[in-house]
Amino acid sequence: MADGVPTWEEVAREHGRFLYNVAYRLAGNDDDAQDLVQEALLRVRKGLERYEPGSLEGWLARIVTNVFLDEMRRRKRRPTDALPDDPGRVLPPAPAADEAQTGLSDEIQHALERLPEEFRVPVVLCDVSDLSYEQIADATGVPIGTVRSRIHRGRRMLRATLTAGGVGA
Amino acid sequence: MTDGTGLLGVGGHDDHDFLSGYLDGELTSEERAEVEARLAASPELRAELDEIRVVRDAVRSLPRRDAPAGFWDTIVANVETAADDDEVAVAGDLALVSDLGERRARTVPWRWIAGTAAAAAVVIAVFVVPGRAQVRPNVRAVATQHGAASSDMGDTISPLATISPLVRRR
Repeated sequence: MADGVPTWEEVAREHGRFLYNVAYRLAGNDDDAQDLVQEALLRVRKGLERYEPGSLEGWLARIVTNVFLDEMRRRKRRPTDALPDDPGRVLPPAPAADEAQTGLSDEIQHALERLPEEFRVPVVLCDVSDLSYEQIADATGVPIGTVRSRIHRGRRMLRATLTAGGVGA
Repeated sequence: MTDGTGLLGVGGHDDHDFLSGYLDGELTSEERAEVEARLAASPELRAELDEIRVVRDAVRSLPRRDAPAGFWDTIVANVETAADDDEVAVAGDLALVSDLGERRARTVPWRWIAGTAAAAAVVIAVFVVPGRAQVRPNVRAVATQHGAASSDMGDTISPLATISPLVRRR
């Protein structure tokens, strides 16, 4: 690490789990999370020269969010692809026999997946990545007031979904 | 949060956004005091705050999701390969592939590699290992040495201990 700037391998090794967790909570499944992380690390590798020492995980969260939003836009251009942010098109998977022990975590994850992406992204960045509203506004390119509104509305939607699913949130 | 117009916002529309800002510590001290005053006066507002707090805490308590074993080694190699390809493409004045979907076609998805490795392991486990793992005594060698030892020493039992290393894997 020179001048506080890590190598991309150090980023992968020391912050990979953070990156993967954010990617998984945004995408809702491991396959997409793995693709998002791969693309995010490629962008990290290319962009490290421009990284200014500061909140590295905030920077990583912004990169993986941009990768996720790019992928959502690509899928919208190709409507044959499933859109996990469209509640009317993709429903949470039905519990299988071997998922009888599906817990509260899965219910919350399914509820997150049902959030439209403009609400899911700020909620995940706030409550999973632990970014400030200002960092989220910077990452998503929307005003901080919009961030605040979307986080609150997102949480209310989550509560409605969880309550409808029988989870006493 | 209030743009200088108070918690009700510019248009006077109270959508309670400030409650999440309050929970997340994103309010100024003045805004915080105003929220607390309103909470003290409104049971409904307190109920909504509690509901939002439960949801927020639930999301924050989600366990950290880890990548499968082997993911990181593969992904590092994949990123190196893809980055090298991009550098070649740029040097050759070709379009840089930035679309994840297009990039997928150029990089080997890590899970294909992991899947192939897993399949190979299954083949080895099913067809190769059992054959190698069968331990059988070399009957002819044992009988020959046992017989020779018996005739030399007159003791047919104790030489067996020295013959045992002849048991070998096939």
